[in-house]
This record gives sequence, structure tokens and C-alpha cells, in this order.
Amino acid sequence: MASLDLREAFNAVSDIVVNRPPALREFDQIYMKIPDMLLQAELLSRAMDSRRMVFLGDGDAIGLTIVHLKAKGLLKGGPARVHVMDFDERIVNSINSFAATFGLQGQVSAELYNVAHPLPAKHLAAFDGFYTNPPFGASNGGRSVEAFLRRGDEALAANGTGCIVMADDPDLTWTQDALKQVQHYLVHNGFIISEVVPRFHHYHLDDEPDLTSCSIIVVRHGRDGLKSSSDQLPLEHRQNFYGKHSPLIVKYIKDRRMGGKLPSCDHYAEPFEV
Amino acid sequence: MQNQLLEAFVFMRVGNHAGEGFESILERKRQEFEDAGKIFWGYGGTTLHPIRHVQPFAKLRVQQRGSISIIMEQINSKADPDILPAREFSADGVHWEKVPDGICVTGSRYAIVLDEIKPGELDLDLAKFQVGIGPSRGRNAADYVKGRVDKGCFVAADTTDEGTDTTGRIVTVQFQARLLDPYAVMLRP
Repeated sequence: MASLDLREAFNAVSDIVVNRPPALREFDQIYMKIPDMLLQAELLSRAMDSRRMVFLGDGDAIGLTIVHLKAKGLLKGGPARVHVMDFDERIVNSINSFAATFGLQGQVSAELYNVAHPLPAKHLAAFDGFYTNPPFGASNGGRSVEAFLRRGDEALAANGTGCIVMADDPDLTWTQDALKQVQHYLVHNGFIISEVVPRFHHYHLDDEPDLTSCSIIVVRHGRDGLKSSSDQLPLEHRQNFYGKHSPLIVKYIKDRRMGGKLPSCDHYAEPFEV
Repeated sequence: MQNQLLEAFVFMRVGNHAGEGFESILERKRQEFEDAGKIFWGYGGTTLHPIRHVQPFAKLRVQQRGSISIIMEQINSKADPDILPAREFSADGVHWEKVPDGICVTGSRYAIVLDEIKPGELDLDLAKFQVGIGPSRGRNAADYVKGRVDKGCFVAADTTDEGTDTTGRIVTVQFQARLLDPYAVMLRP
């Protein structure tokens, strides 16, 4: 990190941030603060160097950040390729249009996908790295994280590496409960936890502005736990996706602006009277 | 009602809104209840989402205790948002319906759905409660309600959390009402 040109790096992250659609709080889209995006991208550039990566949800646009920084020569390492899967078409379109504008189509792509669906067969064990920063599971002991982990697990090839971002605040008991639950899931599914960066990120979150999250790096040893199929998320899991009485009912967020090609509907121009 | 209040409730600071005095709002809302059999109490911000916070919190408490109430602390609010009235509401963010006849809610993104608003003074120590849902779950309510945060879903604090250095914070509750299914909704003009 010491060799990073901070001005150039923040300007590159700024390109990414202005390209993102507004976060939708009702779907737990809560954006990471900009300096932490940079630090997270730098961490991933080392952990995922030369890997084919899949991002299970990426409202923050960390995948695009790494690719953009790498293309500008601001990161030494970085994944060979990034593919983002997100249920929000605004995010998918914003990534693909950014890639087209900056000539990054060979390095980054995005497709519409909801974690409740089985992972498409072409993606099974097809990636060397996965990343997810899912809904933190404040009201369900981390079960919403498990849904995303499950897809990351299915997408990961032999000797693959994963990075999971989870709430981590010792003052909030639920974050520690969710961490325990997820670590249990990881170990039970054959992963080795190789690195944890505690309290690493901050968020634009009005009611809990000091909430922090950690990065958990996991590795699959050889073919341990390698998955060859993927199923629909059980209905019971979907019904309590965000917590008890808080179901996942939305399959996709559809984009009315076609990735910015159509005009915004959220403003109008008021002329001078004379 | 009081025992239930002391277990779990929705808390909101209320006052003037959209250029309208609080007494006028209250009178209009009482008429709304007479006309429509329910009240849409409008609010905004990002800290008390109808779908992510109010609905699951209320459903669980109604299942456990039969009802859930909102308690209101009156303050001298300077809120003066655009007066645009809501024409449609949605309980799930997907299916939208016309706002029922007799209900008028202005300058708000969301609304709590209430029955009759009743007066009643009650001094409550917020330090004895904690946030019951969302990313701040477990945070002491007295520490939580500050700055831009003026509402929340609260439950009686865990006894194991006693002994923290949170000081008492008494609020005078002047109005309360029971939440009605679907408890909270999204609005749009």
C-alpha cells in the first residue's frame, strides 16, 4: 500500500463512485466509504492475484475498482478477470457500461442473478476466487450471509480463495453471533480461514455510522468440498432471508434508465419566469 | 397497554411537519381515523424502514403479545419538507395501491399505520431499552436516539447489559397508538 499513488488512486475510485446507482436501503444496499474501498481493493489485489474472480453481489463496486486501478497501473497485482453477479440491473448495467467506456470488457463483466436461484451450470467450479459483501444477517444470525457463501462455494474451483465481508463490531453482540455462525459454516464446508482483517471498513449508514466490518480470507485445499451441482434456495430460507418475518420477495431490481442511456425521472427543470 | 409498552414499542419524535403545526396535524389525523378507520403517520429518513425494520419487528411482537404500539415524544420540530401528497402506498415495495379515501399524508416517503392516537403522559427512561432490529440491534436506546436519529424499534434492555455506563434519559411520552396491519408502508406521489 505504501507505494500507491494516493491522488491517482482516489481519482480512479472517484470514477467508480460517480458511476454507481443510488443505494437502496430496503435491500440492505449500504455503501462502503471511499478510503475503505481503496484499502479493500488493495487487499484483494494481493489475495486474488491472477485469479478468475466472481463477485456475488457488488453494490460497492469493489470488483470494478480493482480492475480500474489495475488497468491504470495503480495496483501491482489483481485478478485476471472479474465477473459480477447481482440482482440489481442498475448495478449490472453500470458495470458493463463503465467497462465499455474505459475499454475494460475483457477484464470485467456483469450479469443479472439472484442468489435464490441455482448457480448457472457454466459457473460451477469455474472461478479461482469469490468475493461477497452480503446483507450482514443482523436479525438472522448470519443466515443471509450463508446464502451468498453457498453460491461462492459452488462457483469455486480446486485450490480457490474466497473473501467474505461481514459486520464486525465487538459492541454489537449480533455481529459476533453472525461471525461465529459463518465461521462454523466455512469450516464445516471444508474451508480454511487463512486471514482475518478485523474492523476494516466503514459505511454510509445513518443509524449506525460507526459500524465496521471485517474481511475474512478463506482457501479451499485441493478439491476438498468441491461442488458439482447447485439447487434453488429452500423456500424457508427465502421466507426469513433478512430475518424472521422479513422475506426475500423481489427477484430483480429492474433498471428504468438502461444504465444511464435514458434520462433520469427524479428531477425537472424550473425556468426563470421572465 | 403500559406493560406492553415497557416490553417493546416503536418510538418516534414528532412535531410540526411540512409547514403544518403539530396540533393541526393531530386534529387532521383524528379526522382521518374517523373517516378511514386508520391513520397513515408519515415519516422519512433512512433509519426506520417500513419493510426492513417496522414490519418484521411489529409482526414478531404481535405474534408474541397480540399488539404493538408507537409512542410519540413531542418536540419543536423544524422539519419543513415538500408538501407533495402521497397518492400510492405499498406494503412490500412491489405492489402499489391508491391511498385510501380520507387519508392524507404529505411530504413523506413512509408511513406507520395506526389506529386512534390517544393522549397520555408517561415518563420513560430510554436507557432501559435497546434497539430491537437492524444493524444497531442491541445498542442502548438512550445512546441511539441522538443527532439525526429520532425514531426506532425498541425492546426492554437485556438485564445482562446493566452496569454499562449509559446514563438515564427520561422522555415524556404524550401520545400513543396501536399499529395496524401492515404496520408500515412505503409511499409515492
